[in-house]
Amino acid sequence: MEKRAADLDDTLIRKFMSGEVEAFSEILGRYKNLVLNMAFRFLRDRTEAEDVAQDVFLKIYRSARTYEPKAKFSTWVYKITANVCLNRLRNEKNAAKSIAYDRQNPADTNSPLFVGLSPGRFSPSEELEKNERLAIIHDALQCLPAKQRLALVLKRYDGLSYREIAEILGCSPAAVDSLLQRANGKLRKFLEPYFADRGVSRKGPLS
Amino acid sequence: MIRKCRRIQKQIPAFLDAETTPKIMSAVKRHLGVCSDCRQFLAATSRAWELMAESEKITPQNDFDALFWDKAREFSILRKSRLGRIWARVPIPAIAAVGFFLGIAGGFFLGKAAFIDKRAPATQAVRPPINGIFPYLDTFADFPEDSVGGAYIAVATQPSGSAGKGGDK
Repeated sequence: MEKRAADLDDTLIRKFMSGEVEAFSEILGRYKNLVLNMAFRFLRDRTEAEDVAQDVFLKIYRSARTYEPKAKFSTWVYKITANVCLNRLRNEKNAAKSIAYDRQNPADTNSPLFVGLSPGRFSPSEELEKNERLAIIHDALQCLPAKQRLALVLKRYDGLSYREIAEILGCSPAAVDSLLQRANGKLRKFLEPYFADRGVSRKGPLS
Repeated sequence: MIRKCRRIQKQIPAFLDAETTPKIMSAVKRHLGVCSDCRQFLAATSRAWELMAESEKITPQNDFDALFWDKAREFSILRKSRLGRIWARVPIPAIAAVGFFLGIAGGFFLGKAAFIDKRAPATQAVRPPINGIFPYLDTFADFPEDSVGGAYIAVATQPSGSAGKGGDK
């Protein structure tokens, strides 16, 4: 199935490279959800995610003619998306915000991130619990350093293997393992105060 | 035990993803069989991951494609005009490049030639033997009498008395 998809990607990109602009419409249709959601999970801002997705497809459009099928086309798309997201984060104020969060003690529940969410003010109801937890997880994700966040998004949301993530981030699978371990550790520290008293292990709700 | 649990819990994400070595996999499995804390940790981890997997997915706005094609068209126009501009500039850099390389090549050959001239051993000017010019001049007496040299020799070789006598007469 996956091979068939890869073959179709190859066919489409070859068609586009040979001048069939319509083939790009199909590429756009196949990948826009993937790119948009990856950007959204990384940036947590719909408008920015749409902007990033547009940028990504424009980059693909511009450089598709020079594309060399060394790796899977989807990996190439992920790589471009990752780079655009990282650049976006670097260029915009988000970077400063993220750095400020990174420098804070991750378990510091007085940080701006947790205002309104601290265990004392948190009043869970059964039906909202799941959404609340999700919101907390996503907010906690935003406090991770960019590369760790990207690795976690690619692993948890897109289900990529360590090898694929390594290819996208330009590092070794061992480095990806270490990135994910650190990301999981930080998330656990962030989330412990919120999940510990809600039926999830006190030892660590999320690794 | 706590230290071991910490080590095992570090490996649990990779264990759940089956992204670790068979040796570590079996060590984690063995430990989970005897440690309820780590089992609980594993359950919590996979629950959190399930929760993340259930998170909302957004869909692109309706005008996403149209917006993209607008940008792509803009890019194509821009590219064409940029290419035109680049082509318009091509001759000057090309000529400059050719001139530069010709200069370097010419300089190289000229320099080489000049260098060789300098380094060539100076040929000593060979003085022609005096006999080569005046092969008949073996002695002073060989100067022709009507030549300046001959007159000088004649005066110089005259006995001093005869010179005086002649003058007195």
